[in-house]
Amino acid sequence: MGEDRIKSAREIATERLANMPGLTPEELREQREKEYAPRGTAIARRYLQGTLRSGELSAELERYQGQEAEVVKRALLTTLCDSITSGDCDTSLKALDGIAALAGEADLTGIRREVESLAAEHEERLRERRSVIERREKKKLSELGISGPAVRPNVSEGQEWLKESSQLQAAFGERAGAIRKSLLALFGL
Amino acid sequence: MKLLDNLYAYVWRGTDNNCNSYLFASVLKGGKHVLVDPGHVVTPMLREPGWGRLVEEMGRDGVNAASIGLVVLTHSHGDHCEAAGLARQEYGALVAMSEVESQVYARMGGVVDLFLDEGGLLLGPNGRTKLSVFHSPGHSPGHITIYWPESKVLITGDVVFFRSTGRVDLPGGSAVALRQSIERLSELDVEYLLCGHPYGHPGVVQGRAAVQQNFAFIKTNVLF
Repeated sequence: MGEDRIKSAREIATERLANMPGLTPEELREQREKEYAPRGTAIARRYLQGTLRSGELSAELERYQGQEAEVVKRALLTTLCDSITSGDCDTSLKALDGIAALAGEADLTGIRREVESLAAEHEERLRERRSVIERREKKKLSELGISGPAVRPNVSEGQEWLKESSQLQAAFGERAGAIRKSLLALFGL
Repeated sequence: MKLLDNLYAYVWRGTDNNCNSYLFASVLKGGKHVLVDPGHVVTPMLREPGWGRLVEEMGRDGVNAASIGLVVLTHSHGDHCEAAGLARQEYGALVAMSEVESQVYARMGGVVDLFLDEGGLLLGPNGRTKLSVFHSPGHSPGHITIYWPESKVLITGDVVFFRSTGRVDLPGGSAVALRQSIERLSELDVEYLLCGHPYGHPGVVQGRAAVQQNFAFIKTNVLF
């Protein structure tokens, strides 16, 4: 009679689970990545937003161990590296400071100089282009009868500026990409 | 209503809230006009046709709305700027305001073609109509007022009204800044004070003495 009783949902689930094959190492790795990589990304974001200081990054990593710690660190470093762009010097340098805090003995002085000069060059080129477009727009306005020191064309809304700035972004983005690659290589990523 | 040779005042006569509009006629190339603060397209509460009435009134003065070349916005509140998008879309008019206000205007879907900083704004061939743009914050952070020294005209937007001032309880408002703006504007030589609303009065104060009295009243009874 005991064999005829109706099984509980828990018993059915436990039986089914026992019959299922275990996770392969690859599946385990994927699961680990899925669970822990977002934690590394979140640490990086908190640091970039100013909630964490660079000196606190190591302490955040120490909360994880073994392969989990590796996943978190990789995601943290990758997010910081991805934040290095030619268009935002402050964020790039902050990201670099965070990377340096985790880099141990590695000397990042050269890369820092490269980031600074890339950002300065990008900004200068943008300023030049903007000023050329602004002069042209002012001339057009003047021909319509609108002029004077109070007048400043809204260059940012124009198609010409959008095209020029995205072209510059692409050109400088390539160089920023090379810097990111060299940093990732430094950590074997 | 024609105030001066090429300056028209369009006092809002509806029941719902909307602004007064002012127009410099035929001052731009090709006889195009400059309109200051077109107001609502349709007022929000009573659905009164703000833009429609303005176009109609301009038409009665022989001013074709299709010839508006530039819309100047004193600030980004809907009761002053809503119809600017329509003038831009339908007549190809350019829209101008301060950069600070343009950020709020952009959130409402508005597009600004040129920013107006404090300084000279010259209209027409060889800059025949010489205006001055003043940054006059208080009612809103990037509010501007327009002064025409030659004709002693001051377009105040929502900084000064007849015997009252703009409110400061809206986002970005500041009583301290409004007071400073009014102190500064009160020092100008003004014969025509053209206010942004017809609150209990058309909002067009004429004559130097009346303008000075208005400023004195505000300083004594409104600002504290």
